[in-house]
Amino acid sequence: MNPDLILLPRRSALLAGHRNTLDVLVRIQAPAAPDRDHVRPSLNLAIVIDRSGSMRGKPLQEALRCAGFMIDGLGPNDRASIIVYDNTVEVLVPSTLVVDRQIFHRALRQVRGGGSTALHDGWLAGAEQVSAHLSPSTISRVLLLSDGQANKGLTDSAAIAQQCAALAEAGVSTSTYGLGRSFNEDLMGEMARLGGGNSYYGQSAEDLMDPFREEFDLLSAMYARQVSLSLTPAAGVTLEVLNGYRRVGGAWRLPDLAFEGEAWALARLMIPAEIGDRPESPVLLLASASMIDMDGEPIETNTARLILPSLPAPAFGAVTEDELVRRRAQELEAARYQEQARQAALNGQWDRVQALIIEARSKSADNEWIHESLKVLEGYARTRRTRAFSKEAYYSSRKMRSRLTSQLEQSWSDQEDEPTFLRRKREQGRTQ
Amino acid sequence: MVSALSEVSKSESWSGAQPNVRLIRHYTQLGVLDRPERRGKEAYYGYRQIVQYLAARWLLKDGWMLIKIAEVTTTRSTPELLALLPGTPNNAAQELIQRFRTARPPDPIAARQTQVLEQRARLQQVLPSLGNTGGVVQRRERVQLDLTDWCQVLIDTDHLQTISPEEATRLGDALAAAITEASRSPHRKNAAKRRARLSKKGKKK
Repeated sequence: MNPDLILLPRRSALLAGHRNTLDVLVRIQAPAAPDRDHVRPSLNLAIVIDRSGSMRGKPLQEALRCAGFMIDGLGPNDRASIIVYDNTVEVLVPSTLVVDRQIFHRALRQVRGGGSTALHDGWLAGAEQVSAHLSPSTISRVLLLSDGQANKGLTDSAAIAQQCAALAEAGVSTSTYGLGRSFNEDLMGEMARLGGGNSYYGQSAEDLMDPFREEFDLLSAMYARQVSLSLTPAAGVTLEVLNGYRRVGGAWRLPDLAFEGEAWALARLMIPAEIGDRPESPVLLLASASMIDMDGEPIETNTARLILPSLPAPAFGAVTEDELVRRRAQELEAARYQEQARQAALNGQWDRVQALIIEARSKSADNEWIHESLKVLEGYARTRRTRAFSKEAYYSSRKMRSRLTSQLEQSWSDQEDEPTFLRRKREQGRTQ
Repeated sequence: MVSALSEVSKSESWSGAQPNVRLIRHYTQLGVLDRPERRGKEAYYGYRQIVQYLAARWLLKDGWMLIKIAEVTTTRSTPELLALLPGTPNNAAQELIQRFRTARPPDPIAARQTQVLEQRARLQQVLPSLGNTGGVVQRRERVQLDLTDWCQVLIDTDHLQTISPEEATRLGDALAAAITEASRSPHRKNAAKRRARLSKKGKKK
């Protein structure tokens, strides 16, 4: 069964005789749930763990526990490798089928902390293990965990992230797990964003398991990856995708799609008056998406067309806004405020931070999730905790911009039954 | 290591007989495998030895003698040994990784040296057109003596170390003469007129 693509405009009409700015929600929906015989796709993972000096003690213990958790979820059709790094990189277990989990657990028990952070070398060693066993029907991913800055080998964030992007296109994706207060969220976030994976962080060792569980659930429910959205506006109509998704070959690259999930984009159309005033309503936007399913086969959605009538002012005034589109627009706006507030916090402009939070709150008074997220940030701002503020603002804004959603999204306070990877957390770096 | 190799052997059928402790010891004694790391009574084999073992099995199957195999497994790097092994043909991701590995981060000292040399070459081209025929920028350090807020004297630092009292006196005479001469120049008169004009405007206001 193929995925559906639905176009949902914020208002279902244009105002005649005027230039219109219209937000359109593009929804790409996976089939509701896998059938009973569904077999989870095979996984080909490299678990790459930072064992530098700062990880000594509880952080390293917890990281190893999370790695053990991932291994316990794998079966004989999956491959895994374990790599640890500090100044140097050590492949503890080369990529092998997970027939005997004890091999992995024994290797994890040997790990001790020390040294600096050759993050790039560690990541590359993980990618090397994964790349030797690429298969179209397998999810091949490096899971990189670090609590520090890359300070040995290649350390240039942009260069590392570009390498992640190149490898993602070649079939090896990267997810990152930041731990504590000292890791570089810009680097870890970009590695995952360009690397086609997910980025998570935990404030403390206790908060690490949550994101590992989320990623494992997501990988287990994966429906399709490399989701490419093509949007063609009518001649004269200009278009902007507000999520900040990266463009690959003229299309927008959306998050991987899981069963029951929905990948989405909010497109803002600027429609000149003359287009709305034509006697026959034109096609304002054409949208379609392509992706790769778990058998490695390309699949496509339907092509959706957006056609809206032009109405005179009184009739247009009676057309109500779509609630879902309005809420997503709010979330993207809140994400922008959070990014600005993060920059202000990094510059020590706490008055500006406070002003931005107040403004963001005023624009999303009825959105409980945004409201709660802002409360968390406000708490960090009040105590001038720059690093904690920066990390939470970074991951919160990323989540609001590009999260996978449920097709029938419940209210924020009523999402207990949803899969972990579809839940909206109050605080990204904390277990809830 | 034996359990890890057993696992590899299950999925890589060409690697032949199931490895066992005796075989691993034998290979280590022959020098096919690097010596393990000793921790008390236990011997730890790592990733390199696993690759050495697999390469050895592959070469053995190909008819090589173990003594010759040892020359290969101990002198070649791990990636070189990996390249000997059969498996998934080299894919785009593996090619990229090799490229990333060989592209080392730039050496900051070498980069700075290149920058300095480039700047020097540029100066040699430009300076002659500005009248500096040597094409070399002479660097001289000066000491500035602030006699008043409006009068400073610059003296070559090296010369200042050796100046005699007589020379200083002669410099003072020369300075007095030069100042008197300059104060009578047209530039000086024009400046006096400008000051007078500004003063009148100030009074009108």
